[in-house]
Amino acid sequence: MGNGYGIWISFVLAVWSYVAMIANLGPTWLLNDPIVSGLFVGAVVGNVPLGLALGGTLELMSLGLWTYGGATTPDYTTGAIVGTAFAALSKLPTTEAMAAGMAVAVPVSLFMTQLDILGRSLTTIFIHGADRAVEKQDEAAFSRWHLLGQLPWGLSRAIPVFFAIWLGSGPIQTLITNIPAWLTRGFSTMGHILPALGFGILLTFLPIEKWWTFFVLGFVMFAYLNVPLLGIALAALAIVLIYFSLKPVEAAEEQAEEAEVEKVEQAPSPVTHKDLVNAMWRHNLTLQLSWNYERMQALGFAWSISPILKKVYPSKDDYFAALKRHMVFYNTNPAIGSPTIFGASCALEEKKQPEVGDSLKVSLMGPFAGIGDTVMAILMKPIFAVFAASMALRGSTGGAWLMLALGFIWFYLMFPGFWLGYKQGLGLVRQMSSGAVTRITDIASTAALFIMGGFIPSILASVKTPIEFTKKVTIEGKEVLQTVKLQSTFDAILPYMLPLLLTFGVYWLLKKKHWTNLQVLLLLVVLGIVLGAFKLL
Amino acid sequence: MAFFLHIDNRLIHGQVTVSWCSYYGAKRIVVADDKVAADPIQRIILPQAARGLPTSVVCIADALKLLATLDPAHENVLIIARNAEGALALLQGGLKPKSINVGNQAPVQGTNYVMVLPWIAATKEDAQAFKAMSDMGYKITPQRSSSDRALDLVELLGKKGLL
Repeated sequence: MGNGYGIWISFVLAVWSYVAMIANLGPTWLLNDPIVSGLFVGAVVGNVPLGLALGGTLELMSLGLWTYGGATTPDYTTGAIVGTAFAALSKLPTTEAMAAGMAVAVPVSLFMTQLDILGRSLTTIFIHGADRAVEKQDEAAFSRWHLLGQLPWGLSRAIPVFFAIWLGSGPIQTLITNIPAWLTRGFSTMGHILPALGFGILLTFLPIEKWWTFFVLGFVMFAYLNVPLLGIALAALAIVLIYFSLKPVEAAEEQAEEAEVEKVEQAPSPVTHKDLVNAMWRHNLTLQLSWNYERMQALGFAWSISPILKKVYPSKDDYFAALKRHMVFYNTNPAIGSPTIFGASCALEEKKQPEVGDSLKVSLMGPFAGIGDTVMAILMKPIFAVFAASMALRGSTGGAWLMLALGFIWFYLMFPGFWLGYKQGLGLVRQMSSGAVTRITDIASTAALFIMGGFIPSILASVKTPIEFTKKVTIEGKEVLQTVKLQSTFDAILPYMLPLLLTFGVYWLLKKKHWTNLQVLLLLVVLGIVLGAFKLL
Repeated sequence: MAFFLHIDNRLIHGQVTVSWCSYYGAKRIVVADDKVAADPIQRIILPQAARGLPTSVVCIADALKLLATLDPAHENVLIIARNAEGALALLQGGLKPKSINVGNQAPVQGTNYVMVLPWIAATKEDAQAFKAMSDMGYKITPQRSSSDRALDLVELLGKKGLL
C-alpha cells in the first residue's frame, strides 16, 4: 500500500480547483486550462514535466470542445489535476508516468461531467432566491444570491478533488506502480492517438467541405516544405486576408432598415461615468458566477446593471420593477459579445428606452454568441492550444503562460467591447447588418482550416507503426531476406498518412455516422490500448 | 436531403450554427415565427448570425409559402420555430420535417411552467402542442446539441404530469 498524499496537499489542490473554476466562470481567465492546472499541480507534487505533458495531451483532446450554450463537456481540468497528482506518485520516468496519468485522467474527466451537471442544476436554487429577494425589495439578499452562486460551481470540483487525492492516492499508487509493461504501452499509444478526437471535433465545426483547399495549403507547408508552425500560422493569416480582400463583398440580404425609435427629450443623465465603470466591472468580473440551466446568465446581468437602474429609477418600487425586467433568460458569449450587449443595454436604460433595450438584448444574444463562439472556440483557442500543447509536451512551461495570456486577452477585450456597445447603442444593429459578421466568421474559419492543415500532422506525428515484415527479394540472382518497414511504405505514398487517416476517420464517424463524442472517445481508448499493447502502433 | 425542424427560443445561436447546421448539413435556415418576424431588429440581426448560410426570418404563413417553393430533395433546410405553438402551426400548415428537435425552451416569466429538463421549460399548453405533434407520428427529441442523448420529450412530459 502506498503512502499517498497528506491532507494538506489534498487541500491545496482542492482550493486550486475551486479558484481555477471560478476564475474562468467570472473573468474568463484560463486558470482551469489543463496545461495551466497541470503545471500548478506538477509544481505542488514536484513533477512539473509530468503535469505539463499530461495537461498538453488533455488540451489537445479538448481542442474542438466548447460549452456552447451551457452544454457539458468532459472536465479535463479535474482530469489533469487528479491524473498528475496520482501519476507523480509512481516515480516512473515521465513517458510511463504520463501513460498512467492518462489512464486516471480520462475516466476522471468523464465522471466529473455528472458533477458538472449537478453544479449547474443546483445554481437554479440561487436564481429563485434572487427572485424572492427582488419581490421583497431586499438589495443585500439579491447581491448575496448572485455572488454565492459560485459555490455549487467551485465545490462540485473542490470536494471530489479533495477526497480523491486524500483517500484515493494511496490505493491508486499501489495500482499504478504495478501496471504491467504491455498496458503502459497501451496507455501511451492511447495518449498519442487521443488528440485526433480534438481535431476531429474541431473539423466538424469548420466549413471543410467548402474550403478544403485552405486545409491542403497548410498540410503542404508542413509536410512537404517543413515550415515551422508559427510560419504556417502567419502565412494562413496573410493568405486568408488577401483572399477575402479580393473577394467582392456580398450585399447583405436585407438593407439596414432604421429601427423605429422614438426620439426622447435628452434630459441631463443621472448616470455618471463612475456608475458605468462600476457596472462594467461587475459584468466583466462576475457575469457567469451564478450561471444556471434555467435562466443562464440572467442573474449576473441583472446584478451588473443594477447600479445604472438605481440612478435611473430613484423610487424603490420602480428600481425593483426594472431589476425584475432583467431577471429573464439571457445567455451569450461572455467575452466577445456580452460586454457589447451589456454596454448597449446600459445606454438604452440611461435613455429610458427599456422596451428597445429589452428587444435589443434578446435579438443580439444569439448572433453575438455565434460570432463570439466562432472567434474564440474555433480560431483563437485552438491556435493557442496547439502551440501551448506542443510546448508543454516538450516540457516547456511556456505553454502554460501562453494559455494564461489567451485568457487575459479575452478579459482585456471585454472593456473596449463594453464602451463600443455603450456608445453605439441601437447603432449596433446597423453595424451588424453590413455583412461584417459573416466576413469575420469566414475569415476565422478559413484561417483555422489552413492552420489545422499544418498542425494536425505536426501534433500527431508520433502516430506511426513499428510493424516490419520480411520479404524475399532477388538481388543479383541470389535470394535475400529483406526487412521492410511498413511505415516507410506509408511515408512513400503520403507523408503523415496515418495521422490524416485517423483524424478524418474520427471526423467521418462524428459527421457522417453521427457518433457522439463519447462513443468516439471510447473507441479511441480501446483502439489505443490494443494497438499499443500488441506493438502495432 | 430534407427539412429539419428545430424548436429553440434563442433561435440562431452557437449550438445552432456550430452543431446543428453541421449535423444536418443544412444549406439554408428559415426562422418561422410571427413575433420575431414583426421585430425589425431581429429581422436584420438574425441572418447575420448564421455564419453565411442564407437565412429568412418570416412569419409562419410566409414560411409555409416559402417552404412550398423549396424542394427538400434538393437541399437540407433547417427550420427554426421559437416555441411549441409555432412548431405545431407549421406542421398543421403542411410542413413535413424529417425530424423534430427541441433545443432551449427558457421559462417565460408569469406562466405556470415546469422544468422538464434543466434546459427545457414547458407549460400545460406547450405539452399539449408537443403531444399533438407526436400524435402526427413524430418523435420529438430534447437535445441541446447532437451529442446529447435522444430522449423522447413527450414521454418526459408525461412523467412530469403535464399530459
